[in-house]
Amino acid sequence: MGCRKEGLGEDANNKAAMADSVSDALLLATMCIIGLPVDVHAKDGSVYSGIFHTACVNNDYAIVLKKARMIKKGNRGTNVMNGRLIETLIVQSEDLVQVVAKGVPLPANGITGYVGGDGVEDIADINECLKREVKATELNESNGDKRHRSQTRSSAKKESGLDYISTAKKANVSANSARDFSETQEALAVSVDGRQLGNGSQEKQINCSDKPEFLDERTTYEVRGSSLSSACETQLTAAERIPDETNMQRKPKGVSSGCPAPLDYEMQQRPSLEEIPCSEAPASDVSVAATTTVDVASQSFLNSSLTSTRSVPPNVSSFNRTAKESKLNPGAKLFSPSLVHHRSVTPPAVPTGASVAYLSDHHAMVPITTAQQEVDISSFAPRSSVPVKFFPCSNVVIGNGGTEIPYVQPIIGQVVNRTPPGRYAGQYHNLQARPAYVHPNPQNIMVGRVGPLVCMHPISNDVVQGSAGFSQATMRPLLTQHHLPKHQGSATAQALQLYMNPPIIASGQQPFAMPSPNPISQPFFPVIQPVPVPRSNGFFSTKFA
Amino acid sequence: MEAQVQSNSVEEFVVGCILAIKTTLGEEFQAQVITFDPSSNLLILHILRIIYNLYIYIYNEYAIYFFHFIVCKFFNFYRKIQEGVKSESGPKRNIRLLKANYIKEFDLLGQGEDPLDVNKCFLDLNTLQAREDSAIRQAEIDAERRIGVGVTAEAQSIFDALAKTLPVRWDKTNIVVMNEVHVSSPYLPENVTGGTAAANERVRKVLEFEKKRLQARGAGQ
Repeated sequence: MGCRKEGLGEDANNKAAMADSVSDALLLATMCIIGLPVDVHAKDGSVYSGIFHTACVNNDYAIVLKKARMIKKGNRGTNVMNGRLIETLIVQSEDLVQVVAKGVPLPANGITGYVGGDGVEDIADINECLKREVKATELNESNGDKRHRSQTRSSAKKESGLDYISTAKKANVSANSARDFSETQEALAVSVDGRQLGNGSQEKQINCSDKPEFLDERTTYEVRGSSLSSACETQLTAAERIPDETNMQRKPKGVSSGCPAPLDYEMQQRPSLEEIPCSEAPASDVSVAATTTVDVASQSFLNSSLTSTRSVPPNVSSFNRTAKESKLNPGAKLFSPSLVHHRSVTPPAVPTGASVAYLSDHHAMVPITTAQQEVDISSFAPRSSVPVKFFPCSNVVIGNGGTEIPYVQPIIGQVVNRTPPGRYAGQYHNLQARPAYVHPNPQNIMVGRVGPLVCMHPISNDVVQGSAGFSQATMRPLLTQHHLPKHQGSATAQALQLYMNPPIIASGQQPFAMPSPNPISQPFFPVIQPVPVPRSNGFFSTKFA
Repeated sequence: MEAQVQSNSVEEFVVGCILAIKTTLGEEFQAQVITFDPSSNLLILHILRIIYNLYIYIYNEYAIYFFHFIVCKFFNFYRKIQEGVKSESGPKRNIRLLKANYIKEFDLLGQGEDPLDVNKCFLDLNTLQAREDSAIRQAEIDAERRIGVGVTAEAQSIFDALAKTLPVRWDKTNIVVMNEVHVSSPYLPENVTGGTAAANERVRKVLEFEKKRLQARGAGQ
């Protein structure tokens, strides 16, 4: 976190920074041991074994373990019982002696292992369609190159200077909003290129060379921020680049003639693109939808975080954008990507969805899903502007005497990804605002629900998150099977099942009204989220205690 | 106990150099420096070889009864480490994040290359998250399995004690050690049945020891 801020300020070139900066290596090493069982030796000689959850790298290095257990008693009294399972254990920097991790897959040893098994096919597909599209757009590219470049430059400025540009202007000039839209898209496309560069893909490198200065910026974000783009991810986002690029070709023309044209074009373009990989690679579609909306969201949030007075206009502008889109393209074409997107939002959630019920620590449960999403999308700026705050979750703090120390420092690792709920709210708001214009669909109900969330309630975040998680569960029956038996007999299980039906239908992309399951599940919905987890928590903890 | 390493010697932690390190907690190992972070004073080490392990302390209280067992275990562990050294370029490494001020002394053994290849530093957050989630789930399942259903608190503490050194599980109210030795209620040494003679004997001894310890603790309270 800290070092990313630095990076934003310095505007440094990422490679050198990565090589030189030690804390980057520390970050990397930290990331590498996330999720691995580690032993932590404390100052008093006690040893705790647990799952490395995250670490704080703000000057000093404190770590958070999950499911920790003291395996050796120290010479000083602690508030930790020997042998008991501790849900979340925070080892403060001053107590930390060493962290021992075994079997760490250091990334230096190759990245092949990191590509998800089921992602491989998708990648192949996407690559195919990528090549095709690149060929198709090559001609246009030569024509629009100049304008293209200049625009990227301007968008780069806009991106980097987001903090400084008065957002009111943006919002007020209605024509601008459309252009903004295109620009942000481009920016994202470029950022994708940046990743690809890291990945060593030649096609993208060529593209990158067109816009070197912007690339620099973007890549710094990327490296500083999560710095971690998987091969899989990059490939997926690469697919997204295509529509963006084609849009870029058209945008300049379109803008001169009037903004509706390009938008419309883009909308028509997209579904056709998606048709190609559709069956195999929903994730690629995902990224298409995701980038546009999320970036918008991030903008708005950034602004809102800067000043409260400015927070309204950007939101409005983003609304306008979505509204325009939907008006321009009233057909289902618009909707289908967003639906796909919904599906896509969930994939990262799989583990979360499964673990929601298991994790008795509600903090841990909350944001993982979208956090992931966010990282994929590489909208970093807003995150840095808002330090992660909700970490008062220290169940136990090692440290002789000190208990429940609020943990307000920025934390890397999983927690970095946990941006404040408001942001998610905004994000979701935008995502789901789209369908609202189009279909009387199950998701509209979500919209109604999510809309109010913009007022940034932490709980609402849970709700949204949970919805993602659960709907996810339907997609991976294995996990749900894991899931349900644990809770059978409790109200939770039933509630879960109730809720889990709708997403199946929703993912079928049918405009089903879904009268019966939804009304039932919906009223429960807000109740479900907060209640069962603590309950299960209580259940387990009493069992453990 | 701490702060033996002066700040001026910090510069000696050159990335890639191989050190023999003794910590203030009594551990001794050889490791290669992956990186050193001055702000947190953390030294990230790739462990090449462990000469003296703290873990022997962990089993200390059982050392009397389990000495040969520990030696075997330790020997295996050591052998594994040796193998690990051989397959240094393999996919998995043992890593330590060590606060530099807990280093009692160190020797420079040599200088290697930078163990991190910057060009290959990719991480997949999905993988990380999946890994953590599954680890947590596994931990919960394990924790759940550790809790006997319908057993007394004493039985549970006996189980916990056994679990420190041996692989144990519940079979209803029976404790199954190493999948062969059964200990049934009331968990006295004479309730130990099954398994090889050595294993049986081992379990008996631990049980006896644990019973004594629990009694002592109960008396103390």
